Amino acid sequence: MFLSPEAMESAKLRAAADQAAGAGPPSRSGEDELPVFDRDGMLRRLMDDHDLVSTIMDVFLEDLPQQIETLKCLLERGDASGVGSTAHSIKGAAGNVGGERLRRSALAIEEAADAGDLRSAAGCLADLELQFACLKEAMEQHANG
Amino acid sequence: MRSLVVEDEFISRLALQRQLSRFGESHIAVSGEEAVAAFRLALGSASPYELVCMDIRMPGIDGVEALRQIRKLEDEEGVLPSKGVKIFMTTAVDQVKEVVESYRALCDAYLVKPIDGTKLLEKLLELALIP
Repeated sequence: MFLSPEAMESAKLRAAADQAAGAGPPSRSGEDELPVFDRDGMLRRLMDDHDLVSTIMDVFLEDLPQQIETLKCLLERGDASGVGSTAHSIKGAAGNVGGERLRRSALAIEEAADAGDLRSAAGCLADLELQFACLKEAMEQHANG
Repeated sequence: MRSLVVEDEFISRLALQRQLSRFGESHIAVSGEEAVAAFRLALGSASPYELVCMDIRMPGIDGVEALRQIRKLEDEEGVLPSKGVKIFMTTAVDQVKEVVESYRALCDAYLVKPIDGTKLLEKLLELALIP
């Protein structure tokens, strides 16, 4: 079955795209509606497969620090394409584990790098690291709780 | 159902492959180049792929180009369009433009990442990939 472009551009998808497009660096107001860790969403997407959830969280926590280091190296080297790709991967990984704030932060870096604006991308790095630290803590709390 | 997951990001790949493995053998490719090579090999074998889940943004040839090359291989082998492999493009919500381009190049559906297992199941049923 082929969906028509009209069907594809459903209101739902448009709304989601608009939301994503509007997702810049997080506000500092403290009124952040996005969750640090949407574990329920992750469980739902993985159809309550607790083994898979656990495996994915373990892999994520092991892999992300390395990806962040790679991102830093690429930023230092001024490799916009590499920064965009790595931020895209971090965004994908964060989305899978329900790390909504980390996902938003990675998207901001991806968009800045894709626009060739490495200064802005570098400016979002501290937030990315902060969001990963918060997510890691939330995940470990869940694992231990 | 024999499937191929094409995804360069490890966690997305792991999640999707594990979900598809419930319905049969599921292989992985980490780039567009690998995907086309794997598809070519399978097409000439006794058990070609019934489903390809294709990421769009990948280093090297991207998902849209890999999609075009897979359809070209099918053309060259005389596969009727109605009998072609089902291809789902997997895309982030902020890649809508690329999805539109994918549809022009004849994919069968799209799944927004992170992929929701229930929605994946719905698409598999809708396209009669699983009973």
